[in-house]
Amino acid sequence: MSRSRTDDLMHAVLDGEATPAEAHELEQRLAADPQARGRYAELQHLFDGLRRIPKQFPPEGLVASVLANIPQNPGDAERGDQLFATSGVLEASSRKARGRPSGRSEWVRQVFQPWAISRGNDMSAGKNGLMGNRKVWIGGGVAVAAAAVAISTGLFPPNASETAGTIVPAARYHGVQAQEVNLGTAPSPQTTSPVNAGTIAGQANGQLNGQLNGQSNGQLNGQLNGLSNGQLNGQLNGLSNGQLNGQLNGQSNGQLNGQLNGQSNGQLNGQLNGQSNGQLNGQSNGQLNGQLNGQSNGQLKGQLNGQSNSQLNGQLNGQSNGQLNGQSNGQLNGQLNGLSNGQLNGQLNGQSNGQLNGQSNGQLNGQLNGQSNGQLNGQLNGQSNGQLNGQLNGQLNGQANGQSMRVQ
Amino acid sequence: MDNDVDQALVERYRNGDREAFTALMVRYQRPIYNAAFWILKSADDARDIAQTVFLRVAERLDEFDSQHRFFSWIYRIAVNESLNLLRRNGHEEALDDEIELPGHGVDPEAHTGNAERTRYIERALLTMSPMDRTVIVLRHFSECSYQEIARILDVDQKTVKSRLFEARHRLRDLLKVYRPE
Repeated sequence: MSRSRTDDLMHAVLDGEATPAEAHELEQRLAADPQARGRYAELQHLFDGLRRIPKQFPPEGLVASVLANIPQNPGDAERGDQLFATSGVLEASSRKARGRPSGRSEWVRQVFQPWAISRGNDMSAGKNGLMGNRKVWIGGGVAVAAAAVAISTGLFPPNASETAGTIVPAARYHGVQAQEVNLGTAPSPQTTSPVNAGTIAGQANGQLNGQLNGQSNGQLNGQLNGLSNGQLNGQLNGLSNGQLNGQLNGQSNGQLNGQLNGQSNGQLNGQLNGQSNGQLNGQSNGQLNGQLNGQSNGQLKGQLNGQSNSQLNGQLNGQSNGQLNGQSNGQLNGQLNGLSNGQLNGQLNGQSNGQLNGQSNGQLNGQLNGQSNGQLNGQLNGQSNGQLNGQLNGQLNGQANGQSMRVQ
Repeated sequence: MDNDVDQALVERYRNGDREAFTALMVRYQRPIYNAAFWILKSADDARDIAQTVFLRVAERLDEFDSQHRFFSWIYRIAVNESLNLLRRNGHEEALDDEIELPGHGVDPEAHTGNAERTRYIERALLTMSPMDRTVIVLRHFSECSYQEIARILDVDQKTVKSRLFEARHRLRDLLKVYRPE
């Protein structure tokens, strides 16, 4: 197959690798050559087709299975010995396992079992190792990377000069658990300002539960970080007469449930960041500023409820199903961004006596409902390869700008 | 992928922070699995390769030169592992009619023209040679630049352009077979 200069330019332009001069040159060549225009259109069609191919999801538990085979402390010596010490209790050929019916593989179902993949001690001896012989060792006797639980107060170290009353920061926990880990509840500090409710950091191969409660007459900061290969439940409750900052970060290869409840007479900032390969449920009840970010390879449910007498900003970024509800007597800004390879339903409901701005970018189904006594701006952008349903409902006593755009 | 974030995570792991390695895996599990899936045409093999890649990364992270992009380094491991597995298996496996292409079972647009066309492209792609699939996957699915593909495959950019051109040409011809119009 011969390549002409025009063909080279077509590929470079579509690949985004052409210089402006090359792009201009291609334009000129296409303008003068109808056959080249046909070839270019065909190539564009091919690029579009390749772009539409859906990305595959990795099997559930991939990260967990690797974690179970790397040292607890990366600094440990003799990594190779630790990594691939043969434990072999049961040897199974994955070729043999290939005969299983389609659907979730045996490997996936065993992923939270105490097993490990083993190979020769020499990592470079690939042909004789795991992939070479296609052997999977399912080792009941493997020293599973058992759960490490580290409770730290490092991020918000208590400072005697700042703390009055009875704040009891989270204690340091050490434990080796493979199943359920309860981080416990940080005692509810009750004090004048400012106060750090503390930080809870947890890591578990099983279930991890963490709860952090804070109460302050001044400023209150709370952070809860969780990492789990199983289920992770996190709850952060804050009550403050001044400013309250709460953050909950969760990462789970199983199910992640996060809840952040805040109440403040001053300013309240709440953020819930979650990433899950299974299911993620997040709820943030925050006055003033609330953000919920979720990413999930499985199902994602997010709900953000806000109520404010002044300004309320809510943002929900979710892959999959998301709902954002906002209510404000002042200004309400809501944004809902959704991206899904399957079905996506997005709904933004807002009620405002001042200004309401809503934006919903959703593939497939998007709904934006706004009600305002002042100004109401709504925009709904949807992109779909299949069916797209868009509805924008606005009711107002002032000014309304509504736009519903369908991008096919 | 943001190389600064990668480098920071690599550094944290080198300093003993195991959580940083988890974060690296979370960032890369989907792209690495996807690359392996399309090169190997098998979900089982892709899963094994993805696991092997991360174990190798954990083992060899000390050898990683921070002057280079982590992205290119991990992809290079993934592509090499995938191609090595194909060689060991004598890669001329017949296309498995039962190969699963996840996402179509619940695809609401399964009966639309676009979905049908996507299916044709997938089928055609799976009959291509491993090297053709590899360059297509790196460019179109992993969205690597010519320079990144060159680094991953250890060839010059001219060779990358040539391989991409030829692979697309063959894919277009295959589509005429799979989608008689």
